[in-house]
Amino acid sequence: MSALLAAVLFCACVFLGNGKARSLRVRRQTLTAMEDDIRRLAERMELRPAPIAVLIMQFAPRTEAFWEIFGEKLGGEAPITELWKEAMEEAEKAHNGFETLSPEETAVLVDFGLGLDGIGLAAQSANAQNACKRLNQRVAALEAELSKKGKLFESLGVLAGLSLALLVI
Amino acid sequence: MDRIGNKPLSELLRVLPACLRDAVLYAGTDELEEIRVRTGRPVQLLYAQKERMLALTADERFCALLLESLCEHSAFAREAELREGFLTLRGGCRVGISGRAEMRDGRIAHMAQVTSFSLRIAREHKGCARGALPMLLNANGSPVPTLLLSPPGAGKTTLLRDAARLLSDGGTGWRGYKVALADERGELAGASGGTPLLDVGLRTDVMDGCPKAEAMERMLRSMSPEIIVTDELGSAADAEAVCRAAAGGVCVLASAHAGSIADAARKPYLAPLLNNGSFHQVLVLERNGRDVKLRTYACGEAAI
Repeated sequence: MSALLAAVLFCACVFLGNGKARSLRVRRQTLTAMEDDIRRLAERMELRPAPIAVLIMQFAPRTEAFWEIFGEKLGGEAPITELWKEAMEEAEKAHNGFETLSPEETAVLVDFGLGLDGIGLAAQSANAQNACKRLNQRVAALEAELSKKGKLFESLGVLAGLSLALLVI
Repeated sequence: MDRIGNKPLSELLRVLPACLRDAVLYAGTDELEEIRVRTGRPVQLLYAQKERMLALTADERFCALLLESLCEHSAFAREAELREGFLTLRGGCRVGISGRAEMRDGRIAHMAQVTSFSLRIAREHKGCARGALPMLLNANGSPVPTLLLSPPGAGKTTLLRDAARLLSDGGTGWRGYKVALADERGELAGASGGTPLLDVGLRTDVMDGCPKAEAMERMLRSMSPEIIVTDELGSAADAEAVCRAAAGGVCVLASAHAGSIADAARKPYLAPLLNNGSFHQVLVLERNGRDVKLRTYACGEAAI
């Protein structure tokens, strides 16, 4: 019985440790994917002056679930800045990786959405460039954090699991 | 919206904010010709014979939302049109805009704030040019190079579109001609993605979104048209392109803003066209409510 309890405790601790590290990885993935998608959207805007709803259907975005929500929202009546914000909130609730983002990272994406109502391709390009630059900085910081803390969380999980298991036995 | 038979109007209503769409539908769309939206003032509906002020007053936020809706949330994609002060919607409705422009290097960089909209509803009146056909065709059934004049809002574009359709389709007494439509603002054909949404005829090729002078030159070179149709000649470059097409043996059917032939003669780019053989006749369209009159002038002569 105690051996079973020890095994359960060990697994739970490893799961928690890995979960924390995985959350960092998902955060990084979400940010890099959004950076990539924003860059590609800006390229599309330059290639063809078509409505955003059409453009986002023409490239396979990495954060597909988010762009799908945003694309559906574009049929709505509110200003595009509000539609973007709503899409982000919905993506967060749908657990598409957006729920792992820190408030600062979310703010970068919200700021990009605020610039979407700008008239002119130059304004849109500048907005996308600025967002990509800021996202890139966040990704670099996150990678540093991941290389330091990722392994640490996993090791802590295993160690805590082992300690608890030994205590129980 | 399915109940509305007018394609351009239903396309326009599709992109309007719900409150404005509902108000317009409630007020009625029969003979509706124009919707005017101005910041701080009630929305005005202009019908053929009357006008109506709605209980809906536009504010800055509403105007911004209207612009976004008309641009399908993508103002960046309509930058060039906005700079020129108009937007053409799918279906051919034209939206004129004014407000505060931002200048850069002596020219309009973009519209910083749009505070007035003139939403003109394109009409597809099939058969409206049938009465003008005896003037547009000579005794042999060949087309006569014609300049159509009228003040804004009299129905030049509607007449020109139907004339293009009739000349292209052919009928009893005249064969169908190859028609090239130089449709700079997209109002004649109401094209979406290059495909005309309005009926412009079986043998009609359309070039839209391109300056009309360039469109005429290109189509002349590549599409071997028998008739070139274009709307609103407005510059020396347009007039020159008409001259070149006429000199190349192509019949040109064009329109311009002018209240009379005397007004047209005062426009420096139109005056030469009236005397150099590019046009053989001028039709002046006069409209008073539902009453439409067409006066014919042989170029250089008095009214017929």
